[in-house]
Amino acid sequence: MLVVDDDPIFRRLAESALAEAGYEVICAADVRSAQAVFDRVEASSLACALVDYGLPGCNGIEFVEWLNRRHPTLASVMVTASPEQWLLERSLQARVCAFLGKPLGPADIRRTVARASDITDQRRAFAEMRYQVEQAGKLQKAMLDRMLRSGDVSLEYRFHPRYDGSGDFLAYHRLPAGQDVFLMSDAAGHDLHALAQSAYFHGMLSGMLRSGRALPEALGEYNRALLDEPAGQVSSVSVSALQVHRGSDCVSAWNYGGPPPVFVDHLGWVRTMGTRSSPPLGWFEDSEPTLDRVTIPSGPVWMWTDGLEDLADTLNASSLSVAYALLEARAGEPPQFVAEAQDDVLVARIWPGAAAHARTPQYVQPLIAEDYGPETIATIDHVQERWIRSLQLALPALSESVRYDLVLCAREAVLNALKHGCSSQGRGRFQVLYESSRQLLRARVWDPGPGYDFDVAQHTARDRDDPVEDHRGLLLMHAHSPRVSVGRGGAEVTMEFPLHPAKEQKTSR
Amino acid sequence: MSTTDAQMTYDPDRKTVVFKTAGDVLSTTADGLRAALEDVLHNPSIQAGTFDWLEIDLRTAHMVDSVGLNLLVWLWRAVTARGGRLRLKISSPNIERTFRFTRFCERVEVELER
Repeated sequence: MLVVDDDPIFRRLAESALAEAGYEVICAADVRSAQAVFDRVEASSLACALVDYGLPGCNGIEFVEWLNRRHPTLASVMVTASPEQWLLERSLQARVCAFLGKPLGPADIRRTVARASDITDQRRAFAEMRYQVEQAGKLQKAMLDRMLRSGDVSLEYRFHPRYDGSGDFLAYHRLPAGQDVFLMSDAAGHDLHALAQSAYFHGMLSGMLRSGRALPEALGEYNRALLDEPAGQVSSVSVSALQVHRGSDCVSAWNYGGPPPVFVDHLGWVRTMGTRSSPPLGWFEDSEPTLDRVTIPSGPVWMWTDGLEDLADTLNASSLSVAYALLEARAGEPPQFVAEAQDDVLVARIWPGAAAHARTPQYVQPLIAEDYGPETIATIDHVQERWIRSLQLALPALSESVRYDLVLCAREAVLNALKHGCSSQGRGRFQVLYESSRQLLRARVWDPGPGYDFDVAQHTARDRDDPVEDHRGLLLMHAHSPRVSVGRGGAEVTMEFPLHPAKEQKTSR
Repeated sequence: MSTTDAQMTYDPDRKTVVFKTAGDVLSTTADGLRAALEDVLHNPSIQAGTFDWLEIDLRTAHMVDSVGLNLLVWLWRAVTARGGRLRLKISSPNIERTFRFTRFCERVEVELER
């Protein structure tokens, strides 16, 4: 116990009262000698500091503030002969945990010091726990980094846990038969429990896969392990698994409750592998994943945890645009918007079958891929806002005029598809792809309808002579996009928007 | 958009009816704006054909889509039928491009205020 007071009578009183309670007491008559105590005594051996306000040289508050900076877990008690309101307020601001006015009896001192001592213990326990969590989080990040960089695979990833530790993880395994397995998991929660669950999951899966168990079998085994947890311990893990069969040039995906992997197919459409309609592991005995198997795509496969989708919702942007913005940001320098994440965020861009450091081919980056039904007509302004936000996040340097052209044309094309090509069952598809090699954006709209034969040249000529009201949207699309191509008799429209258009002199053609 | 969002004034010196809109001219706002513009067309000076210009102040608009453009074409027809001319005041270069690409700016006077 440290007692700091220039009054020898109070020092003697405090020393005797506290010694009776079993404390070893160190006394100091001024701030300098109190500070010198820490040169010879470990701060962690002190239970609290009893500090008089009116000290020679500098006052008790200044000493407490020095203590807070140097030894923030040590609680302090302020003692004064003039217990005035302003001093009480200053003491509270200085994180003093008790305030006593003189004269004091031994029992007052013992009671207050015991309480302050408890606060010191709590602060130390909290600081220790905080340190442990930080260490666990650092270890988790190091393991993730080691695992993903040590394998002979080509992938990029970004990991932004909400706190130090996280329930999200991505593991890579090369199986003896030459298959690559990527396991992206999200244990429920973003706390230590989730971190432990995640570590256990990947440890168990790793052991099973390396001992020759097939991936679906290993996942089923873990599902049973979760269901066998003691009552009251409900744990679940969402898993997205990608298995690359190098021999047969195929990729399989198993999905238990997580966002399914995404890739761009050979026709240039964004595709998901499986759906989200399966429960996570740990919910049901008979949980079945959604499955998909495709030829290895020429471009990458994107995988992320649901924290990224929540973040995209918060930002009113598409998940793909947020994924792109995160992956394009320098490692260790996350974009500012990450601060708005309420959950752990893990995203990866994987080149199935490609070796690490292999020169990856030019690929198309999807920024928006959404399906709409006729109900979207009423909310098109909100949807349009999301397109704008997505483009701003993914391509912050995109000029306002190019963004305007794309958004206006997309609005026209999507509304046209929804009004004329979509029934209550059929849904329209809208995608925006970014081709960095050609420096252009491509917007595509597809509807399940029969299409419509439209002669642009004839219609434009008629409009020039006398403005017409019909098909104005199609004319606008042709006016604002330098290249519009139509497929399936008009039920599929692709519009291109160069990022750096030539100086325009355009009038309606 | 409702009529309360907009303001109409008449400048007898310039023989100009001025109507101020609020926000974008889109499929989702066009019905309300059309109703307000129908009120404008009932202005006595327009009815009597004693006006020269109907000036639509679109400076708060950031986007005009096809439905919005059709509305403006409809207004242009109504104004010219009453012997007047239509002037569109805008602040968005993007909207100006739409008017130029579609040659609508050859029918109406477009004033771009940056």
